[in-house]
Amino acid sequence: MERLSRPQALAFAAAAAATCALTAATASWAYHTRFVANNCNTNPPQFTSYFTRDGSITVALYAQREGYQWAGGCWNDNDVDDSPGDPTSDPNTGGEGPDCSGFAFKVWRESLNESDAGAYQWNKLRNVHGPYTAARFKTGDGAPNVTYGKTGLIRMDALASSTHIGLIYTANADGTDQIVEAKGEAYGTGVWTRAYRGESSYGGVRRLGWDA
Amino acid sequence: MRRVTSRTIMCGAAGVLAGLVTAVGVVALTQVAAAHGVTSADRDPAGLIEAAHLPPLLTVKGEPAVLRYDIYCAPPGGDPESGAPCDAGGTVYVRAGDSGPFRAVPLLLDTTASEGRYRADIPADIAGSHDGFSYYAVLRSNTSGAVSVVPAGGAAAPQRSRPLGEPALVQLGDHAFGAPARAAARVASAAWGSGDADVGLEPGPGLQPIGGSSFDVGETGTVSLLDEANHRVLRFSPGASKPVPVRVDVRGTMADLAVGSGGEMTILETVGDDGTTPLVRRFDAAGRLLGSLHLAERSASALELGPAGPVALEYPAAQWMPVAETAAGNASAGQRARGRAGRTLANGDELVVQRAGNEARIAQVGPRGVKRSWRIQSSTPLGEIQLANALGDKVVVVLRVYTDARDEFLVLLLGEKGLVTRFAIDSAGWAETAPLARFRLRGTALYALGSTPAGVFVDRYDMEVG
Amino acid sequence: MHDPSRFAVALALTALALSGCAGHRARARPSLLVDGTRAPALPEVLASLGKGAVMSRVRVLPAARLDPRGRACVEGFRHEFGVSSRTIVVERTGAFGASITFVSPHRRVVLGCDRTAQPSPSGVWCARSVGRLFDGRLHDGRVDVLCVGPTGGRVGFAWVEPTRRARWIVVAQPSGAEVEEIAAGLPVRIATRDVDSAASSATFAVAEYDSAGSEVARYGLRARVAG
Repeated sequence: MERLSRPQALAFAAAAAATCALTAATASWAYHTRFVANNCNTNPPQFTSYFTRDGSITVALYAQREGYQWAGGCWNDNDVDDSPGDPTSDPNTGGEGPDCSGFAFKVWRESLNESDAGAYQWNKLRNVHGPYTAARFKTGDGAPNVTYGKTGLIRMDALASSTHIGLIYTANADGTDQIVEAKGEAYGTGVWTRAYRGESSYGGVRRLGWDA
Repeated sequence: MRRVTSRTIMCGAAGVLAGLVTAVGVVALTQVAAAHGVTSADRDPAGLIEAAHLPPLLTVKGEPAVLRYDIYCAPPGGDPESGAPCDAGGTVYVRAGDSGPFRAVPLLLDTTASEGRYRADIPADIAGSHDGFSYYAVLRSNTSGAVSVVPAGGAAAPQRSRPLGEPALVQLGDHAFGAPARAAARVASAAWGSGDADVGLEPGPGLQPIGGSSFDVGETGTVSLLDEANHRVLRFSPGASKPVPVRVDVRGTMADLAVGSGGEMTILETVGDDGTTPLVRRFDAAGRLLGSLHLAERSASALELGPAGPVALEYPAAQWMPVAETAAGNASAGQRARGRAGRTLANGDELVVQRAGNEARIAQVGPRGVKRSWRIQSSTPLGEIQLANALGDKVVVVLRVYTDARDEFLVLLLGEKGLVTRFAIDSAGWAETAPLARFRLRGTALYALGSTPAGVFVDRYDMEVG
Repeated sequence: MHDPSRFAVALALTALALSGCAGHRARARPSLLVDGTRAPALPEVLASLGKGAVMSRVRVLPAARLDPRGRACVEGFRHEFGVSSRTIVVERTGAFGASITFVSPHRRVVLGCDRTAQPSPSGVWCARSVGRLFDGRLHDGRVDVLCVGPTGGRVGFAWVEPTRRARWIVVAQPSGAEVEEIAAGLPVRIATRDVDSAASSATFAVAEYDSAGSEVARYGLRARVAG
């Protein structure tokens, strides 16, 4: 077999490299918006007769450092946003993570039936958002949710405005709170210090039925 | 010039084909891995051990001497989402004052408590020390053996609790909303947008507006406004008609800003990348990156310039830690080893604050303990303590007061005997900022960052020190 | 033995019965709105939509001139969004649902309330919605799926941003269609009974028509609860 000349070899290598890079980049972009399709399920939840603030906080802490997905509710607890940089103008990218109200719904183990105040374990890979927006949580809609005076809120109660909801992890000495939340596409999920409690756009919300 | 032969062209085409096959193969394998949930190394669920603790930084006589923690760890059985209780425990190491051996006090589960369910009762002789006590906790999961030390500096930088001593009492009564003070001047303003003189709102799809998340004021009155959404700082010089934009390489998410006397900018991010802790970045006045380092702790709520450089209030330690890169390095261990409960003032004293219910406690602490303190009581609920800073021989405190329907900021000028003057400021918080970045005190001027649906502004209030 | 005349009579009776059924279906088309009033007449240019199309009533007015329940909706947003009695509101009353829609100062956010003929446990309005506007436009319809109609079935509501040439939004309904006139440059709040509670989503079959009655767009919108 005749050996390739230098120009022929260079042409082959350059074309291969360029094509490989271009194809992989395009496919990778397409891949990261298929997180839900590739990983998440629609399994039924498991009814739980005993659920605690400790247990829900544990779920929330495991869910830190995941992605954020508008209308989302599925994540994998690997401490990585597996769908980073989704175009913010497209709400339907099917990426990893919950949004703020989907996060509250799952951590609070709520039912899709708003008349049911029972506790349901969904599992992180179950893609479910629930029927509530932050605005609905703020007004205490649904059997599990009630509005509650902000001065009396404790851990795993929530602070909700018409546009956002975060769950209280713990109070800080200076009067701020550490809030566990799905904050936004560029933030993902995590625990951050916030001053929501003092802001009048935020109201207190409590999930009913904790056993402890 | 060499001729391009047909063989060369065929080699190029073959290269395209080879590249295509390779790329498709790699992506397919990745997708197979993804379909099996292996997108990157999954965290070991058994490794979780976290603790929440509200430190009693400033105490008054008669308060129970108890330390409370909530501990979160992997439940038995391996399913983190089971909701089963975590089998945890721990030990608090406590001593009177700042020196001497620590004494071990076991943490016991208090099943009657809805939060702070692990308690350690401080021995009476330590609790009664006129200099307070210092402590740290070692918490563990009895299931997995995972251990956490809070604060993470342990014996080298324990948390510090001090008695308030003989505080000056300030009784605020009910707050009368709706009578905010008029600012002396509006020293900076910008409309929302991406133009040269605008401040950007962070892009969606989230609903809540976030933008112009921090600011600082220089000695000459130049206002630096962090426009993180547009990756720049807008510099408003007194008398100038337009701000000067300075590009800075920041993440584009909420951050806190501190500007040094030479225009050097330090920016504390609130979000880290790829599971790392947030960065603190330093830039020169022209926006060139001088250095950066990762926070030791998960997050920080505020950034200040202390006498020895920038410090950040880091959590979960709940301590101010130095965040300047030094020759000795300020890697995690270095930050944690120098954590302090209060912020260091120019004269070396520490200013410690605590909000306890409808009360705010402020203490100025010197080498021999609390030098002076205030106990501020309000009938209207108090939110966060936005600012506490020395102003000559006085102290300026800015608190949030709120009901479920309204909120304002309350500015207090405190003297030796108590309240010197007070006034309210409209909360004007349409867009979210870094949580403790709404106020700066420079000289006798208090600067307030605010926003409306139209844009962002900085107002100046002149403190009448008397 | 087969009698042709009896067969013809049977056929005629059957035809009559069938036409009666069809007529019944046609007569069952709701021409009443959720507030019990008669629907306005369909514009001539939309006559092709057929007898099953119901025209919603649309009013554009300042919030101060709304009825008490409308003012209560606006007041509920006043503190958080700075809306006032001078805010211009689009009030829609349709066959399946009613809504009011308005925007905050500087057009940062679109706000609204929804209701059906079924009283809500929490008051007149069964839903309140908020949508952020990006360069003046919605990226998400802000669907709500928790309202209930008078027969107990779910009613979903969402906003759509009409195309520039459109004058009417037509939403297919099981018994025909609901016609919404675009007003005041605001997104149009539309209703559907096609709600998937398990997925917290609602599906709308939408067509847009211009002033001449020509169709300018047709699409399905599947909106999921978010935010």
